[in-house]
Amino acid sequence: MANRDLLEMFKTVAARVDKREFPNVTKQSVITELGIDSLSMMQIVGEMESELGIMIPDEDLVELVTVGDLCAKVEKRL
Amino acid sequence: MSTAHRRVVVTGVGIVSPVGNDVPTFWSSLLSGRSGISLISDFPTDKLRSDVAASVRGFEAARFFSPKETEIYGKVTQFSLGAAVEAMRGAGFESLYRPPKRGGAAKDDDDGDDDSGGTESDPHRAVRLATGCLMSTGQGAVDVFEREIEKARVRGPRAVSPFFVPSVMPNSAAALVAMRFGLMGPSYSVASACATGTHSIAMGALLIESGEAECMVVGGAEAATQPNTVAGFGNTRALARAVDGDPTKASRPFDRRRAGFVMGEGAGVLVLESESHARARGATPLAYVAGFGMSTDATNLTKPLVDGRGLRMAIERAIARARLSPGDIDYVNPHATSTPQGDVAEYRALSAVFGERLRTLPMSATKSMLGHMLGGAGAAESIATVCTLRDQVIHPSINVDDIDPIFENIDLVREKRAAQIRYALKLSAGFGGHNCALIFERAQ
Repeated sequence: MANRDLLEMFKTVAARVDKREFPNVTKQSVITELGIDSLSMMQIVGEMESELGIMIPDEDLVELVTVGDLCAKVEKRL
Repeated sequence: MSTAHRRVVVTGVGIVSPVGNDVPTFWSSLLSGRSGISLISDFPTDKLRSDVAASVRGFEAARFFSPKETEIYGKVTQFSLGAAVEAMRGAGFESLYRPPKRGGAAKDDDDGDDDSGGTESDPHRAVRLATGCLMSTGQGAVDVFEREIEKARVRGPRAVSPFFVPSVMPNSAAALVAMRFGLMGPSYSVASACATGTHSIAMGALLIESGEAECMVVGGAEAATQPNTVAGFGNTRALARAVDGDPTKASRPFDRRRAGFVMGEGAGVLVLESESHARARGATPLAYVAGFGMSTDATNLTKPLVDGRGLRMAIERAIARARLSPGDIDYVNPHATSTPQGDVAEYRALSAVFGERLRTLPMSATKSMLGHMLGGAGAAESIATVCTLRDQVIHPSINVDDIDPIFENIDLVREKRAAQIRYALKLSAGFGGHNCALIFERAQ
């Protein structure tokens, strides 16, 4: 799946999890500045893992700063 | 039990129930004998042993929760907060309320939560530090359990919400109410099945009597009318079905045709306070918690002791703690689940304590209209008892069309009745053999 598609997937899943839209999110968006708390972020990751049938190791998750970082970690597991 | 206790008053009450989502509506419904029981329509009942439930209608979760929180918290926690908000407003503590800034449930340190509670700059510091919350449930967030387990089954464990555990932990409501109002005194939950709400009130009063807290937000809640729970209770043969096709006739304590209880849901919350604290801030007591007594059957997980001696012990302890004698009790709000065995055991307990006086001791069963709110029942029925004392009027027991001859010598109130009541006894008994009795006294 292309990184752009993963960005769209992130926005869709984040909207479903956090019950609000994220229209202006880009790969450069810093996750902590999106107003998504840590448990909600894990919920988003879990939803993406579940939908894509992948598992992202815990060590990969501690390095995430931007949405693009997450997309890259996901893409590596596809 | 000879030590003098600090007096505990009730200064606020709040309710979410099958007959109304605020205390005025709830009390008016009970006085008019209106049942909150209907046929279950949320899921098929053709293979279940019950087809009726008393469900909460018209609860507006959006008044209290963001859309995300509505998904996180189970109905039991939502009802708890709704009832707590009404109780705290009634007690004059509305200004303590702190709405969430962005609506999340588990926030990081830098995301705007109000964490100034209890600091030197907090104008409500003193009351926050002296107030706790004992908000309990018997079954927990069964709806969330069922949803997340199904999610794991279909989509695997990674799809399980990280909010699953904080949502279903039994102390979730106590934590939420404490967070919303910034209550930093003792907060937790207790569980004793159908006596949960009653035990919560007793334990809250004990904390105040002992000086551990000045105020306690106490109560119980339940929202467990889910397929697996109805199946489980039904398979113990404890549940009733519609009678003559009428769901409102299913709950009929003390009637010859009683066949079990009806699953109910909702929440009841009381604000308890030391009398000195309430008087100092000008709050008006609605009633006193004059005494409480607790005991255990210690015999069987689901069946009450047939002679009622466990419950009798709880009643006697409550009367002793209140420094009263049985002759001082003017009204009884019994547990009265409408099960064939439970009603008899309770009658035997009452007979042992009150003897011939039962003939003139008015009693009415709130569950005949509310169904059985399980962990919320004792709190909801205690609120009915507080309203009884406040208004000096007793709500009726409905569906007593043909009283079981066993109970012929009790004064079961079947139509709204004015009465002079100073002391009222509230009883609860739960699966596990847990018994709790409360005595409320009219405010002066």
